[in-house]
Amino acid sequence: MRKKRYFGRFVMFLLCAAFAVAFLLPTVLTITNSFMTESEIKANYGPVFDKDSTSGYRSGTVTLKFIPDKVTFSQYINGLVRSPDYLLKFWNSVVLVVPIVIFQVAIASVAAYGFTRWRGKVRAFIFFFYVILMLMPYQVTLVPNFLVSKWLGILNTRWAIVLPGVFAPFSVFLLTKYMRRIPYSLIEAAKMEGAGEWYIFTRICMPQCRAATYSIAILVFIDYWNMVEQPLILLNNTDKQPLSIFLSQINTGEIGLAFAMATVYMIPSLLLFLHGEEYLVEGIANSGSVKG
Amino acid sequence: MDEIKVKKRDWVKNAAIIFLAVMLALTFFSNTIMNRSLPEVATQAVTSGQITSKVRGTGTVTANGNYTVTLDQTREIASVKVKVGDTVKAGQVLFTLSASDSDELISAREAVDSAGDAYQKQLIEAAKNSGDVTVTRAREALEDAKTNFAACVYVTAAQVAAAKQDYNTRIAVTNSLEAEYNKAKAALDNAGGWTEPSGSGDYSTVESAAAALSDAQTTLSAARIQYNDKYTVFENIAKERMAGTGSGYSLDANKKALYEEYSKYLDSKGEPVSPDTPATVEGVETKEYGMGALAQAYAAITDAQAKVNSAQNAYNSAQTAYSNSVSSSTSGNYPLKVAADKANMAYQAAKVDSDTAKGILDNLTSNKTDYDTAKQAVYDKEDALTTALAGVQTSSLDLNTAKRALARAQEKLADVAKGAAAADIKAQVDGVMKTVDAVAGKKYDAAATLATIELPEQGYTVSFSVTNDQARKVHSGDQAEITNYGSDSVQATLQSIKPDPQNAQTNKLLVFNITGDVEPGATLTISVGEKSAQYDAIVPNSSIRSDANGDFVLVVMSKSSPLGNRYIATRMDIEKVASDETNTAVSGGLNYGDYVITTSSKPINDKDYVKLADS
Repeated sequence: MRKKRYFGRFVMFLLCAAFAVAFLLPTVLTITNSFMTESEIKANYGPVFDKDSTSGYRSGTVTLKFIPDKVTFSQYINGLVRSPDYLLKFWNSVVLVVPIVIFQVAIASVAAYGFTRWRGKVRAFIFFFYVILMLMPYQVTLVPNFLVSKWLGILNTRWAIVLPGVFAPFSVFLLTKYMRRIPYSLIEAAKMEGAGEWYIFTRICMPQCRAATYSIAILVFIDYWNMVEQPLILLNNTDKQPLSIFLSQINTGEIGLAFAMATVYMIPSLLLFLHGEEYLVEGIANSGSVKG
Repeated sequence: MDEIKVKKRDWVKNAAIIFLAVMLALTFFSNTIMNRSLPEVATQAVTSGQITSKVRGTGTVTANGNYTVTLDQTREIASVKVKVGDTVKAGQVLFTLSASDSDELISAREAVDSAGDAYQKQLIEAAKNSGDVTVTRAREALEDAKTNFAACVYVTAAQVAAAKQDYNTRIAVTNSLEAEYNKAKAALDNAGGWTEPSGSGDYSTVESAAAALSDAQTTLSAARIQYNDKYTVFENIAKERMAGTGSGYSLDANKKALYEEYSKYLDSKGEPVSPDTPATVEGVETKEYGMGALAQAYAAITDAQAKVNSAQNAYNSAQTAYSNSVSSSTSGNYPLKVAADKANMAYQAAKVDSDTAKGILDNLTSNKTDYDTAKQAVYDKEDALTTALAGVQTSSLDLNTAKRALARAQEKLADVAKGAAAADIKAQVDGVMKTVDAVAGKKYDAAATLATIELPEQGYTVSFSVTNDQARKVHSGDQAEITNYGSDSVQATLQSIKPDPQNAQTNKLLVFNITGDVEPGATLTISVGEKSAQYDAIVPNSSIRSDANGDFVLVVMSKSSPLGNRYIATRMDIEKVASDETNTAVSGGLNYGDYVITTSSKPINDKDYVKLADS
């Protein structure tokens, strides 16, 4: 009986390992290839990016190669030292994402508190509207966003990205779900002690929601750190576009540079995840398990 | 557990701080680092103003006309009487020549000698090939050949072929008979051969029987001939008698019985007697006889008949005896021997016939060969006669040719001898010695240049090469300006524009006519071209670049970015309107005040980032 159980676990382990390898393969490929020379990368992926067949050798097929022939940091030096363009784009990403995360968490906290504290048909309708908005794919609201941005005169400015991001419904939904798990008696007790709404919100409610807030911040950061469609449509000025646009448009010439910048670009997300890993798990788990 | 989580978060936080700090530092120094790698360019603003489209060049003054002093014959220069720059007059002695004979004179003499020898040889050849002797001999030989030919028997090829066919037929018969003989001989040999019996054995009996049989046959034949002769006599007599009476002829009973008896005889004999058999002497004589003669003839017939009968009996007896002897003979090969002997006789006779036919064939063949040989001989002699006649004519022509060649060689010798008498070389024209190539003591070939005399009265020219673009700005007849010559009296006029022989594809040669007080060999710098004009966009020549798409300039475009101003080299296509040595007026998208790149520290292309040089 015990042998049968061990065998089942072994099979499951093999399956999980296979899936893990499949999912990790692109990331590992990106990191290892960022240490290759440009000519080696072109030789490996010649048919995919073959725009200039006159320069150098091109392999007839795509070769997934993980070990560089010669480890080099030339791609990092080209992207981070020799040219300020990619650094500028990195800071563009930071400038776009950080306000969105901060203000979205702030606004979502207040909104969620409101949805938690007050009840009624209007609240229910508005919350339902939030949920409907959240369910819509971003591409559905892209055209209205463009038209509204143009009407507001913020097209081709960072506000066209930041403002829709600040008022995203997902954080409100998630935080509302989380806040509802706070016992109402706790708030009643505070009120009886003479605490005002702001005091209750800041001193009682938000400390209870630290995990959810952190998880929302991480999710929002990753979501907007990787955004492509919004800047493409709403930011024509390439000097203001984030690095994610550059990575999405890499298909000619600078493949090695793209690997290097992608590696750099994943560092903030990775650090943020490592820093708030426990909060992320806890926040998401508790949000789904609480009835509203 | 919580402590581990806190440590982990601290580590991550520190890493994030370091990462951001590094990114900030890189960003801070990014422009500085990048500018170190950018090509540094020098720029110049687009201006407006005047362009004087002049073409400048430098050339050496040369005379329009030159006279080249040469030698008529290969001679040695004894002394040189002039030097470069001397002014000479026509008739002035330039060089003196040594007294030795020229090579041309020596060659002319040798040519006369050679032509004289050739003429003498032709005279001898003509005498040797005297026309009468050679032709007469050829004609006599031809007549002899014709005579021989006429004596030959004409035999056709068909005759020879028929003779050959006859010979072949006889040879075939001979071979056939020889085969039969060999076959009979083989049969005899197979039967044991023939051995002559000894003594009076069986063979003598057979032989004697055969001889008796032969004799009997001979006797019988002779008796029959006699009988036929007698009967013929009898018949002739009888016919004469019938013809003589003219009233018919009838035989009496005896005679009739005789006739009947004769008829029976004829029937039994089976051998008709030809009525055309010539009458014998007896028959002729019986013409005079009457019945008496007829009776005698009859009697003779009877007698002859009896002899025939007797001979027949003897023959029969001999035949019987022979048969008996043969059948009883112990040597049974005798018939085979007789057959072999007969076959041999037939074979020998056929062989004689075939030999005769061969003799006839050989004779015909020989006659035909003789005929053909004689005919060919006639042809050959005719050709020989024709050749002899032609040889006589050719010999005559060669003689005339050699005579003319001798005359020409003598004429040339006379001409060369006249020129060889000159002792010096004189100037033929007035002018200035441009070059003196000859030196004393050296021998020069005919037509070698000894010196060159410039002819000032024909004027001077200066030429230099310019590009095709520059050549398009000037025209023949344009007055040019001389910038480096002291004398104002010297004037230059563009005389012609022609392809530069050194570089015909890209360059033209401007030829100027120079007038005034100028020294040949002087170097003149000449400026020629259009007058000044006002243009809106003028750029330095160094800023204009060209490729397959035409001329263009790189304009510096400024781009503002959060990290500061960036400068980009931007291509702008232009067309040249006018240019001088330093600037070019252009048309295109350039505006007054634009900055064009004149020089760069590295090669640059369109859209490249550049760094402005510190001014």
